[in-house]
Amino acid sequence: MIKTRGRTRRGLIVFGSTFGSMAQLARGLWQSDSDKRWLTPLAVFLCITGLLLTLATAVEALAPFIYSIW
Amino acid sequence: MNILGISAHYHDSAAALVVDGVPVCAIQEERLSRHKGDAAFPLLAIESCLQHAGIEPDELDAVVFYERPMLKFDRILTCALRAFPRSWRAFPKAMKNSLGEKVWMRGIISSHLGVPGRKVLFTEHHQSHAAAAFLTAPTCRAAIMTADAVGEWTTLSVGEGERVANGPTTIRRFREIRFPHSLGMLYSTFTAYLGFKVNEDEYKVMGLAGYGQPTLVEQVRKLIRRTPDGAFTLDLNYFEFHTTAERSYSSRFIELFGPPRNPYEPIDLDTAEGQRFADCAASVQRVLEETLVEVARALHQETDLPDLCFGGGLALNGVANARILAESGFERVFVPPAPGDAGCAIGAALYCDRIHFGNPDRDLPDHPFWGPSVDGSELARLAREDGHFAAEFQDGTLINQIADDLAAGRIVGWMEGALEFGPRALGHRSILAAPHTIEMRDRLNREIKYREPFRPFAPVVPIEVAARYFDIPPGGTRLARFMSGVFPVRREWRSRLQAITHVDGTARVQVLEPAMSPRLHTLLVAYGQRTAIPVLLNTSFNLAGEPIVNREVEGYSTFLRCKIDVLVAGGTRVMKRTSAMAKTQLDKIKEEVA
Repeated sequence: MIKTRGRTRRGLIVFGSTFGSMAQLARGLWQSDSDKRWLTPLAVFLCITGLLLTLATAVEALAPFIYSIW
Repeated sequence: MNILGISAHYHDSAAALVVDGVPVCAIQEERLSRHKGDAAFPLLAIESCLQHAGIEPDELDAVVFYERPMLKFDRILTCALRAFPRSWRAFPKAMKNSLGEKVWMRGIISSHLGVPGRKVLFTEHHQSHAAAAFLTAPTCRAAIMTADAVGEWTTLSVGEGERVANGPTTIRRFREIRFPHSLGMLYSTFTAYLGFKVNEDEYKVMGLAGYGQPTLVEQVRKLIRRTPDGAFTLDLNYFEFHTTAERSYSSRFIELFGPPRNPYEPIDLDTAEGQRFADCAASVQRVLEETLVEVARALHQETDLPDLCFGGGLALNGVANARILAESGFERVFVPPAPGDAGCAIGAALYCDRIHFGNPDRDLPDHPFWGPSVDGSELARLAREDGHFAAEFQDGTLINQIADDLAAGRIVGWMEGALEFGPRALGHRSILAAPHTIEMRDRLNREIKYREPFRPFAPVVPIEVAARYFDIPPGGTRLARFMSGVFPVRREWRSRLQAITHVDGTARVQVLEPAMSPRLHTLLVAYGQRTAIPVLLNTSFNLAGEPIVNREVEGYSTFLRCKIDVLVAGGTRVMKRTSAMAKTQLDKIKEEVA
């Protein structure tokens, strides 16, 4: 049986894994043959934005602080 | 080694479990959640697979996702920037869509299943399609072609696969065509233009094509240009799918083909406007077929192999598959029962087992029945609770009784054994009926399926007599095994197989080997003894807008909500009282055959 985990717990697990995924994306873009290195900072910036939004959805107590950034 | 394959988040999510190199369970999420085309993370499907095998998530050696989300994000970002400023409206939506959930698949899988991130692996989308097509086919060496709308970047790929019994497996990709140049997107654009749902209703375009003439082929060829290397490019001036999510085609496209169809108005084929839409469908279908045949022919010349494994959403196009078989030079064409994205779950798990872990090759069962099984006693309990008469029979008696029902013109909801994996009902969750008259087709469309009158029904026929009724070329029976090819109904039988003969004289026939579904085969033979034609109409057991039924309770609910006369699950038969008085057609058919 699959154990049911709370939303916050799941959100934190997703949050914890995002740095590896971002590094993978950045590495892929940096090493790409089609000269997309210039995309790396933008992609990382967008990922961090998405990451913060994911965190705000998972941990509601943090949401006001995160949304105040914008 | 236990490997779980997952496909999710675009359409048709699914899970498949491979234990020691052999699939033990595979199911689409929609069959459990009861939402057609459910794209959500397939938690129910995963649970069903694990339960079937009796294993816990921590006993999984790997969980494989069917594509690389970061590579897909790279494509979405690159395309949005390339199309700037036209894409400015779509850009925030695309980012929100991707960054909200889809790119963080490793974390999402870990958080749901509790498996460590290192156990979560990814394959490329078209690698999953290629593996699903090649590793499930009974061939050791074959050319591989995959084609769909888009994976990460790839829209069409060609290559070759080789496996050695109990030895290593290799899948090599020779070349690929990349987004936005996509045959699938071309077809989907016409699907949208003709007022149907993209990624869902492409089969309706194929059905509509039968009613039209390819008079607009030259116009369609303006949209897709062949390149000297045998590939193709789309003229992007006619499309908008790469710049916006709102509309697939541009104003120039409308100038070329005329105003699009209003989705809320029915297609009246007796009007010039309705005929124009049918001609559009016929024209894009013709160009799609020609392009696929040419790509396949070039692949055959390059590999000189007799077998082709074809995967991806475009492999659901039975008319194109039949032309590939007839014209490309390949002797056999293998299309898996689930060539679309759902099938990628099984493909990703097998790819991981054979290629990533390098496990030795194993022969796989050649059938589509990987889902949960039905239990006749559960149907009997449900029916009796409602005061319906439910009879439980021995197998032989039941088959004779159902053959009598079908010969008497009754419509039968047929559930047996394990659920099919893939979009086709191949005899385990089917609605069966006599295929002889137009009235039966109209009755099914009007009273049970509630769908457009132009859409055809498929037949099922025993392999030993298939050639008597259908014009199946050499190698065609393989394609027809999972209803993946459309072949002509023999002219002399068309008047007696009206319900399954499409307007162009063809049918998407299922050729049934006794070993694949012995009870259905016996039923076909028994029906043939009564009517002299052992062919049945076989359509999926669902109502419009619903997924195919899975459990007895869903079959029973469907049975109550429409005019199916008889319901069978395992050895249990339930009949509606009113149906017992239905007009007997047996004598009429016997007369006609005599």
